[in-house]
Amino acid sequence: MSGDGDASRDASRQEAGRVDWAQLRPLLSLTLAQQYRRGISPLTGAMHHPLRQIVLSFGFLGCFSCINLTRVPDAATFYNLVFAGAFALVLAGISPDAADSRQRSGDVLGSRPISGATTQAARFVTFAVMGILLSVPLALPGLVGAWLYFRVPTQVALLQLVMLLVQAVVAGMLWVQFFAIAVRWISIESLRRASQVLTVALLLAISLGSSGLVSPLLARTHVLGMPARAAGREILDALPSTSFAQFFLAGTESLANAHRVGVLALMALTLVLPWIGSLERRNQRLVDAIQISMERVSARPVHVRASLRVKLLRATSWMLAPPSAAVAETVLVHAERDDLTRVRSIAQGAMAIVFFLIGLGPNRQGLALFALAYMSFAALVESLDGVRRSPGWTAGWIFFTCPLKPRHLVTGMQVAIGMRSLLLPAALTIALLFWWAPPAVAMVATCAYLIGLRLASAACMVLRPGMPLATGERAFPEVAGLGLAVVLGLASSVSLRMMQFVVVKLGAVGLLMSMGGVVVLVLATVLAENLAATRLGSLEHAA
Amino acid sequence: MTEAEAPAIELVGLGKSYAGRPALVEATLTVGRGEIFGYIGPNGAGKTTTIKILAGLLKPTSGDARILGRSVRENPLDVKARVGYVPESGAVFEKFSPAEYLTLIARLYGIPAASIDERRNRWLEAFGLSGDRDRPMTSLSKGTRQKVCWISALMHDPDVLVLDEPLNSLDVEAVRLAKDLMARFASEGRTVFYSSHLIEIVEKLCTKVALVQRGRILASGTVDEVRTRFNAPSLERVLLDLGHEATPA
Repeated sequence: MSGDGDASRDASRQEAGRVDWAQLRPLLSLTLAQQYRRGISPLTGAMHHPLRQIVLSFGFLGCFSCINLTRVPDAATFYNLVFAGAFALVLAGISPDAADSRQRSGDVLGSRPISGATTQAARFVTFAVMGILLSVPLALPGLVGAWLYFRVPTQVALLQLVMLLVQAVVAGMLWVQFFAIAVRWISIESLRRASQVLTVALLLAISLGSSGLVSPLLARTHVLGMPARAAGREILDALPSTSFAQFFLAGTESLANAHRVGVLALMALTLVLPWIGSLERRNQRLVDAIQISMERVSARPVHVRASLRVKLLRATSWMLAPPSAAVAETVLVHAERDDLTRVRSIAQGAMAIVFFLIGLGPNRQGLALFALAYMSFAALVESLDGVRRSPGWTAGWIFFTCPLKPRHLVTGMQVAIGMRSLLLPAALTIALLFWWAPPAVAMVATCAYLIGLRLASAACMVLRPGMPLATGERAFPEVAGLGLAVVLGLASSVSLRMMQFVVVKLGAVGLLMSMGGVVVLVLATVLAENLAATRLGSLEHAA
Repeated sequence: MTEAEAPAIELVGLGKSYAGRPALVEATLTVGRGEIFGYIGPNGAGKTTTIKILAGLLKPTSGDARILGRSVRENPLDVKARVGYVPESGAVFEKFSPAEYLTLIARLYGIPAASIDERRNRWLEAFGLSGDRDRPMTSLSKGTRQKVCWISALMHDPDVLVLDEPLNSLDVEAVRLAKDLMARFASEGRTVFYSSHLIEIVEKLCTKVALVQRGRILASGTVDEVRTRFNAPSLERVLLDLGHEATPA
């Protein structure tokens, strides 16, 4: 082997402890542009605007959480809540990149002569920026709200904003230290998935907490003999975020000073920790681990496994024509192994359960039915997109070359959508219908609901036909999909309530009328499915 | 003409346009059974378009293509059931293992469940993939994924193989295996329609060739016939001259 390679490696080792400021700037531009600039998502193949998405989604949530202004006794408590939400979001939202992104970064940056310290410095700045980007859109509406609602002095309101930024940076940097330590025992993929689930859980918690739907539940629940609400306040007071929230608010009592000391200690820790010998080495290892984890994956003989949904599909596939079952299984397995869709389905499932529980209470049937119907149709539209779209869509040629009847393709996709996203909302909706209505009405309403879902899926395929996993673009733009789901959810929940009303008012005649409506739905479904099959049959593979 | 008498592949005035731009113009060609037929031409000549029409990925704009007497327009499913296709891209769904992927492909082709495992394992063994059968394809090389494409084209025991640059990314052993397979396939009376830029292999392997340029078939016949027609010492020379607008003598 040539000695030149060894010499250059030695040189890079000598330079490993120094940050190259000339390299840091382009490195940061590259990393930040890659993360936040508008472009084609490598995960979904669709055009996305990461920055706009972050600002809009978290900003909307921040505005929504301003409802809490009227529920808290004073500005201090509200600030505690806002800072806690922002702190938790930074912790949950910062996670390692997906394996393929890491691979790309490794390919682009791994081969360049960049020292570990420079990479580490870039990483810290990236995490700090990410912390600020996650915190500010969520917390800013609350800070403005508190300034207006509690008439907080402008100077204090501005200082609170500064503290929010400090908290974002501190939380982001400390979280990296946690990763540096955790990566020794836990794989990066597991950390990434845990972060995704945590983010979803947190967003759900903020949404539900702000909606007021859980308040009655909290009022009745006790934790360790203490009312849940009081226990929540105790936990909130103990969080590090409360120290940041109280830094400029509290008086001169010992507790206030303790908060200030706590913040200063965390800030000092943030500055010192990365450069402590052992952690510094771990940070270097983290950088290496992030870059080489793909190699580990490929070196290890990983064996694929079937998920519970896929096993369920296999167990029930005797009810389907074999080609339809094969189409459904191909699509379902593909979707089940996609991190993004897995996390989404966890979030959707959790929301559906919450609304189901709400629906069990008195006078909430309409709201719960609408929410569940909306979620069913939203899941349907999203899932329909998912069964047709794939980052590896060029592999979709196989569905064009196999001797498949278009009708089998339609059924296969419908089954995949059902198994992937509709099992839980449908089961909960049906359970709710039987909980509220007499069995005969519930039976007819269940038929109408299920056929309605099938009709909607076929109609969407007629509007925007696409072969399974064979397109790189969204079938429906996100806003159009959302609008469609709202309209369908509203229409179906109103229809179900009307059906109930007609049966109650007209008795058997009303029930017959409802059954007639179901027959019309069936005919419309058959027509839509045939049309969808015709349109699928005329498609060509674009690659 | 009965099905048994029909040629393996027939292009009858076949045309394809993309947004009004012609990619294939009035292509007429007959490929007999038991032939390894080379389909050659420069980039953008219309080779892949022809192959995609035969495989069912594209619909012809005009004319027709028949495989074993069946029209791709009128009996697309019958045609697809008899054709095995290896794409140029070698694209497969990477979230699957080879075993899973091939099992699902076999089911899409309607292969009886009882024989799927035996066929799949036989081909995996033949291509040297038994050790990788349960690994996710994300962790496999491009060449290995191309081998999976080959197996997916062979699992349903097709009568006609339609191959678009099928040797891309394959290692020496796999190239040898693929060539042997094509020869064996032809010797059994089945047909290989083979598009490639590897002219040496085309010259050695193919019983007949067709030359296509700018969507038009310029000549077809044995390798010697085509060479003679263009007054060139080799097919490579013919293709190089095509770049300079050579025409048949």
